[in-house]
Amino acid sequence: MVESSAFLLARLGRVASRQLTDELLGTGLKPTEASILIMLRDLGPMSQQALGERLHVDPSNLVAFLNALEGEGLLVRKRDPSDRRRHIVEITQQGIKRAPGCDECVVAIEDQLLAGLSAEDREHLHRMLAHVIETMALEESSSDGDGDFD
Amino acid sequence: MASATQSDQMDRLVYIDRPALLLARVGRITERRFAEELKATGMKAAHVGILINLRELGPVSQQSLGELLHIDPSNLVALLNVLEEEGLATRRRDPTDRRRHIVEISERGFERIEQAETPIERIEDELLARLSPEDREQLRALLARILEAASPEDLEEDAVVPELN
Repeated sequence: MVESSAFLLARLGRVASRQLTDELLGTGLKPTEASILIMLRDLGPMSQQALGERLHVDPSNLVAFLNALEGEGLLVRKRDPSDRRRHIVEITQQGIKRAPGCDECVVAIEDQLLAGLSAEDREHLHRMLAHVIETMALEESSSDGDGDFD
Repeated sequence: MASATQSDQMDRLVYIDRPALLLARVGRITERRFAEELKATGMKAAHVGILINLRELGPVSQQSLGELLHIDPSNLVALLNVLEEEGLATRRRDPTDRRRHIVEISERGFERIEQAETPIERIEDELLARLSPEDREQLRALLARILEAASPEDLEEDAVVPELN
């Protein structure tokens, strides 16, 4: 196989997203929605912009996901008191209750995807993907794309 | 069984940074970059991937190509149909076994792939900018192993790209 890493990353990203979509069916959430809940729970309240940047979701798609989650009472959006033009997004108690179901799905697909890798390989993969994400986050802050997650 | 192979370090990760979610996010960014960079060539990443392989392999049976690239047979047919319609690859019956198809890149396919080469290198360099040459090779090897281990059901629908744009 002469495929480069870029091709492999694109394909495996699709495989991971689709597996996650299937795995999450029972939760009623889409992968991006689950990621939003997990991120807000793990990292605390954050601005809408920061959330979009960390998840690599463009602003217009993000709004649709946030609307859906807010409609279900899983998060709330508030004006930032220090800058009224900004929105701060925060997970609700109800959202916190829903998040563990999402965690389980993430772990389930991860074990499926990475079944053949040793713990050491998984850590190495993780470290390298984290580097890639950081690099691309810098790239993206200067130019905005329009891809959507699912 | 699920957590038996997970190290303590992995268990301490916040969920949002777990490899599966990172992979989905990196994949999404990569696809977006492919779409931007390949726009001028009129091809999508899946088509380019097949053409690059056809260039390296020479004439090859459709079945071997699918196995090599881990593409589900029906998806491969859809992708090859598009390449054939565009005159970028040809399919013919294998004279030694009429049930088999031999796939080959065309002259036009060679030309088209050259247009795509620079953008692909650019994407690869961007993505892997912070990795050492050893890490780059390791990453590629690990990703290839994950793809090889993926079950056929996982790969279904993958690479389904109905037409060139």
